[in-house]
Amino acid sequence: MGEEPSAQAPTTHAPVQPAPTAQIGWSVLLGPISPRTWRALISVIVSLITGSLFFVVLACALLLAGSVSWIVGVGMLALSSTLRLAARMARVDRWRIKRMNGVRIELASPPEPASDLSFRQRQKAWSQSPVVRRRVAYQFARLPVSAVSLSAVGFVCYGMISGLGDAGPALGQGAGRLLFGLVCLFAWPLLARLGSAVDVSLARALLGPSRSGQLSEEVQRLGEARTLAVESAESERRRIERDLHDGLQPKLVSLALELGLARARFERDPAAARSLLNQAHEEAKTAIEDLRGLVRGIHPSVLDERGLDAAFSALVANCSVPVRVEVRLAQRPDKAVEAVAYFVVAEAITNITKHSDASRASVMITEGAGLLRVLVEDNGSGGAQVEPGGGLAGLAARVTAIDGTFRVTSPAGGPTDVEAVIPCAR
Amino acid sequence: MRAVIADDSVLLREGIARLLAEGEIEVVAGVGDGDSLLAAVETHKPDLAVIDVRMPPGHRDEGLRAAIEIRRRWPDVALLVLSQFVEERYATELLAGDTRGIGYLLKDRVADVAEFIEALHRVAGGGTALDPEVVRQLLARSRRSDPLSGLTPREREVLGLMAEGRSNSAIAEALVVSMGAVEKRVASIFMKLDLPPDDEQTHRRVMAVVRYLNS
Repeated sequence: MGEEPSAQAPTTHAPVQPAPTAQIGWSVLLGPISPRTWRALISVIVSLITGSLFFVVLACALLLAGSVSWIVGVGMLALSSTLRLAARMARVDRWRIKRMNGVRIELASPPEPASDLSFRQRQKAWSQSPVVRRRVAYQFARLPVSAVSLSAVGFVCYGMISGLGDAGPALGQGAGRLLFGLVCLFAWPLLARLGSAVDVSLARALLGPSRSGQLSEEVQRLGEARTLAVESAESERRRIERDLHDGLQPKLVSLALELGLARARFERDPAAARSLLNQAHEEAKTAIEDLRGLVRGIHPSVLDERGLDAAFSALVANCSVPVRVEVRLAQRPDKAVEAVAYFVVAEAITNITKHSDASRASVMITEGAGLLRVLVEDNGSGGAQVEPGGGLAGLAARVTAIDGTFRVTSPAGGPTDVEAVIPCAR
Repeated sequence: MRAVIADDSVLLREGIARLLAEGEIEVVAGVGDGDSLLAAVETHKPDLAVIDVRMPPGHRDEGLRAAIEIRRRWPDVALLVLSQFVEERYATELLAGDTRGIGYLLKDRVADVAEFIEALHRVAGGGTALDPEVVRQLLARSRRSDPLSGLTPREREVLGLMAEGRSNSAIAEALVVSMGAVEKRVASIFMKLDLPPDDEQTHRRVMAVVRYLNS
């Protein structure tokens, strides 16, 4: 979402850091022979050719649609067919810009009209959508733009030829004439590149999602992420309640019961009381052990104190298969990121122990480009699925809630990869 | 006396079986979910069923629903419902029909062996056993709090014990007072709350009190 990975492409977008003056100098000097210049020139020419064609076709189609607009039923159909034609053209232009300029443009799609409307109403809603109108506007706006930039390049080239050669109109004599020619020689590449960049920007502005469209998409995505965050916290609480209720509480009740029985028998049957006490003692010890497991499952304190690598030691110690752990981090990520990474690994390790039949597994944590990557692999039988309400779905929700992506690749027969990529830029 | 135990924790099932044995109650079946409970009751026709509220598959109120179903189909089976949490609402649902031989207690009560066995026998004998915690909720949630505020603290205490299902003699024992003093207070409570006259059949007294508190 947002900016496409087009930063390297020639666009009007200002680079983040200004290039050193020397570099700019070289780039201007080498302009006339740089492949970039020639690519830009060709792209403007191609844009002008396709633009003229599309302009003529679209203008005729619109005129035709306008002339039949009074015929009930046909008018709307003619108009919407014309607009669909504009949509085809937009796709051609996207392909052209991708090939010629190396810039990917996300085409904005018009909102789906409500399905309970009639066919006519849907056509109307679709035709009136700003996205559709902007596509038509692009075809009408880009022809003059490419025509003007190509003409400008043409004029400057003409000036260059007149200045450096002897042909053409008199521009004065000697050094002045030569200087004018030289300026034109280095100016036309810049103009060609500028024309190409303006063309791309125009396409991005009119064919790509509008600012408000991008914002509303972002709002929707954030809303979904928030819902997921709330749900995952809720299901986590439910899991903890369940673990306590089904795991620990019965053990403690049973322990109290044994002690109660032992006390009741203490006087009349000391031997029975002693065996009950022994049993109660054992149960108290397992209850403590269970409690420790539960607490660790909620949040291991070593994670806060010593970080991921340290926290993984206990996890892999409880795993039934050997696990190779590799944590390559320059510094500790945020607590929230760390916790999510930990639980991805914890759940994956639990699944490996319970279901995978694996003979070995590995945990890999790496960092790069502001992203923390968590990868857990095993060579087991595969077939793991993200099911609603399951542990993996809970993980997916937790990862998504902090803007990360979560992926499980587990074909039947294995192997299984669980991967989470979490933004961790500081 | 014969009993069926329904609890999904095997550990607790065994513990409760031992408790029942201590109270000279024979355990004829132990099951782990609502459906098997109904089947076991049908097969064994026990005198008593001890039921955990939360059981598989949903881990919600399966036990309670099974208890209500047992009451509907086999009204002679006494029911003791146990739970990690007690809820006044569940008690009200459980007591909605015939209240003879119904108990609803916190699971923790198994730790007090003598008292728990006493409650078992009371329920099996057609009486009622409501957990003090339920009674506390009932008293707190009573929609008719005005007459309750007319009771003396001692009378409120007696009302609470009565709602738990205790007989006058048990109340006298719990409060360390004479039987006569309890009878006097009970009569006074019944009069102040405008309840039907006192009746030694404890389950009917419980009913009267619970219905009063809920109305």
